[in-house]
Amino acid sequence: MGVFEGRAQLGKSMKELMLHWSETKMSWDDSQSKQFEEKFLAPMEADLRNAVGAMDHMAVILQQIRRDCE
Amino acid sequence: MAEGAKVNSLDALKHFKTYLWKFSEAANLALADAESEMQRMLLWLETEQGAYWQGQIRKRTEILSRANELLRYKQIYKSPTGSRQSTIEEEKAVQIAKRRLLEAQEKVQNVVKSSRRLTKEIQTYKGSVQRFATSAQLDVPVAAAKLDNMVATLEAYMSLGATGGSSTDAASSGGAFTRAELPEDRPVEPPPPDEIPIRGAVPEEAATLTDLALRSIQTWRYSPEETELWRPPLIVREDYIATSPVFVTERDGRIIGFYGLSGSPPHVRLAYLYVDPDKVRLGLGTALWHHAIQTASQLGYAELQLTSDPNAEAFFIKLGARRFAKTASPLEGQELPVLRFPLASDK
Repeated sequence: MGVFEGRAQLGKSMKELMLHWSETKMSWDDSQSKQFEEKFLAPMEADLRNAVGAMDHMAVILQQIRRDCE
Repeated sequence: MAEGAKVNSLDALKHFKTYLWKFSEAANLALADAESEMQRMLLWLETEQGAYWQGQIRKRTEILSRANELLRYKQIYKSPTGSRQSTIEEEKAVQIAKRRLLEAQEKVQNVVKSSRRLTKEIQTYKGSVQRFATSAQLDVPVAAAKLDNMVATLEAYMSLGATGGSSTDAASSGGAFTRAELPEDRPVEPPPPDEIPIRGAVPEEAATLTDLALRSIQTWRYSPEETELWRPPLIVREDYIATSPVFVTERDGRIIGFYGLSGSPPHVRLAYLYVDPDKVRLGLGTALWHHAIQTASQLGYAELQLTSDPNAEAFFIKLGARRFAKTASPLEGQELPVLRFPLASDK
């Protein structure tokens, strides 16, 4: 697995995590679950978006370098 | 407690916790593989491609030289019939050879430029993914520990028979749980106070944490000379933060306490646990301790060990740690207690 596949894997895992979370929220609905979502899941999702953006950028760079130097 | 917990299915929480671990593993693997590809590419540039295109320059120079010679030969010598020979093919060959040599020369320049560029881009990339990497590596175990704690609390409540059953699914007893209803003396470890936020440290905070540790030991009234002797073991390095569980608590944007773990299974060492001397007796040390226990348990360790300042031993003993050895101190004539605390690993 490289950058491109890693990026896809991250996106897929996060999507699944949020799907699991939606299901869990149906069984856990109180101030603690809201806090868990706001203080842990939401920031992690935002950090993941940054990471995915960085991976997208690197995938383009690597492709370009491969083309220029092969 | 201000508000009760409303949980209709403990299984749902347990499943989500399991998925959190899977997510953490998948994320760590994806990040590691991505960085591995970048490093492989850098190595490919610096070793294989540089040498390959340099070799191509030599080969293509020879080919061009031969093509030029053939062209000159055709231009100088006439055909057996005495007429001037056609040089169209030879001129084409020279043009092709020139183009191929130029390509190789450009490739060598590309390799050099790309190698420099990739080194910089990898550094920038690492900075961009650092927060997420820390989150996946360190925050997930903490979040899973919180869920565990909550499940344990609710299960303990169920086992008390308050709902008349032993099912871990509150839905089966027909209602939601309220943590406020739990008896005060039930033997369930309390979670760290939510009012004390704890987050993973980042390598850029190394100097701040070292400074905090050095200020923290001032609580024990060490002289400036003694503080200097203490300095080496209190230095927190950036690479340590990058590779180990290190957590901080802060207020108003200022770090006022932290802890760090190190070691390899089955024992983990509480390498640091320090609180700002102006913020003692606010429960920060206890909150950090509980957080460290949860993190170490989640990471699968069987026992937490620590070398304590003699003045802090009573604090750790109160929290359940027990002395089992002594070790030398940086200060002459002083011995440091070595304590241990058994962990309920659940990984």
